[in-house]
Amino acid sequence: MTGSPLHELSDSELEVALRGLSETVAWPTAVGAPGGPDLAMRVRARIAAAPTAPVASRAPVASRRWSWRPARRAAVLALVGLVAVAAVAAAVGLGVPGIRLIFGEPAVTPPPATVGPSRPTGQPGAGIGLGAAVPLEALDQRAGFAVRLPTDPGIPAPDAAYINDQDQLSLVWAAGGDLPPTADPRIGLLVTQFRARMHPDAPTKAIREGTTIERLTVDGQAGFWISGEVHLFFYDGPDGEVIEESRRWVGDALIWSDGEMTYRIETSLGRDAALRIAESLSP
Amino acid sequence: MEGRPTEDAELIARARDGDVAAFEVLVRRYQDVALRTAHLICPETDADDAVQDAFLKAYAALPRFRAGAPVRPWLLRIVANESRNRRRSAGRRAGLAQRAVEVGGSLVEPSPEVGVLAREARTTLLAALNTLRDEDREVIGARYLLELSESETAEALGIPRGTVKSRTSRGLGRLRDALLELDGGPGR
Repeated sequence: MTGSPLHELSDSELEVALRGLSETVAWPTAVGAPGGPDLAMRVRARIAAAPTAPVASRAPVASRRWSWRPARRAAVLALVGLVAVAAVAAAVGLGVPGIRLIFGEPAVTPPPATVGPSRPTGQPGAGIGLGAAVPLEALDQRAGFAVRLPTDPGIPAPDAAYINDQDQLSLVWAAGGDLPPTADPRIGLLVTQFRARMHPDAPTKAIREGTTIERLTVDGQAGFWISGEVHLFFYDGPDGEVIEESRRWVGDALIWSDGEMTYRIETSLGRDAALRIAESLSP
Repeated sequence: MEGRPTEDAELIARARDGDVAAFEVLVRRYQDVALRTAHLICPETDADDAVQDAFLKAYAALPRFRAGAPVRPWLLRIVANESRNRRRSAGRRAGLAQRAVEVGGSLVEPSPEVGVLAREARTTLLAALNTLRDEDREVIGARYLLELSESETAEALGIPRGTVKSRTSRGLGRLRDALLELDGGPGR
């Protein structure tokens, strides 16, 4: 085999050569610094430091009040449900618009969302996992649905648009003027829309210390205002599949579903401004 | 290829019930192949970081794990998705690189199996592999470099088995084309 030019190798010979090649590749290894933790230990430490799953009972003290053992989870969710019903009644009675559900100790200053260690330069939204750039004049065509744009007079035309491989279309406005920067200093407003509905567990999965979730309505549709750092968010896709959010959000977010579509607005403007923008969205 | 399904299932069950140590055992069992998968898909970025994030997502997704399903391809799929996300954000395209094996200052063959190809030929083969489109390189890499089965490759990469077959065949053909070019064309 070694005497023949490589391109003349049969498929089976090429397969053998590729298998041998693997041993010579400079693969990364799970071992850290000498004597230091391996990857598995680092993962365990991160789980302990920031409980990420519905199983946080062995996490630090601060997280124990939100235990996710299945039996306890059912009890806790039932309790949350009761609290929500009571809050609805109170809100309706008092004429308070919306219901405020706060899980855990609300942080005085919510930790800002982060967008990764490196942030490439370029047009706003580039390099943070929003997908491929889309020409602004071809939004509907590329998205496959009627893209909604803000008609709020305070919001100019978007500066860029992207679509990812889950057909999530994101409109991006650069920070500046009336749009203060989000956790990504280049971005002042981010509006994402896609075919999916919020997974029923999504808001509770988003919770972590310092995160608050407020239930509200957007044009009559149930939605959430989520402030603080969001950890995980899920959607029910059009084919029944569960879609996991593939990137970290850049700021506080207003999120709601309308029909087969879900919309999310990320901004530093605050809840009321986000609601105004949301209710001005129009195809 | 799925090594210890019973033990894996037990570890999954314990982890789902809050036993982080059980999850750590599972991570340690598959961390090497997870790192290789991440590096294969996105050599441009830090595989360790991608795999850590992927395992955290897997931990969070434990309630959705289908009981009795093989664990390794399920984990690798999460790793592959995380790595693809990072590849989309990576500004440049890198390739797999050869590791230097030195003993006493001179290069030696890592093992008799590797010695099937001379060093120069291995360099050429790796260079040809690096020219393949991402989707072909992923399948060829998963099948032969990571030695995943067809079904594991399909599950890990999120494509049907038939697509694994067709991309493998097409990928080998394109690899041969790239080798022909690197060899200097026919008649050399």
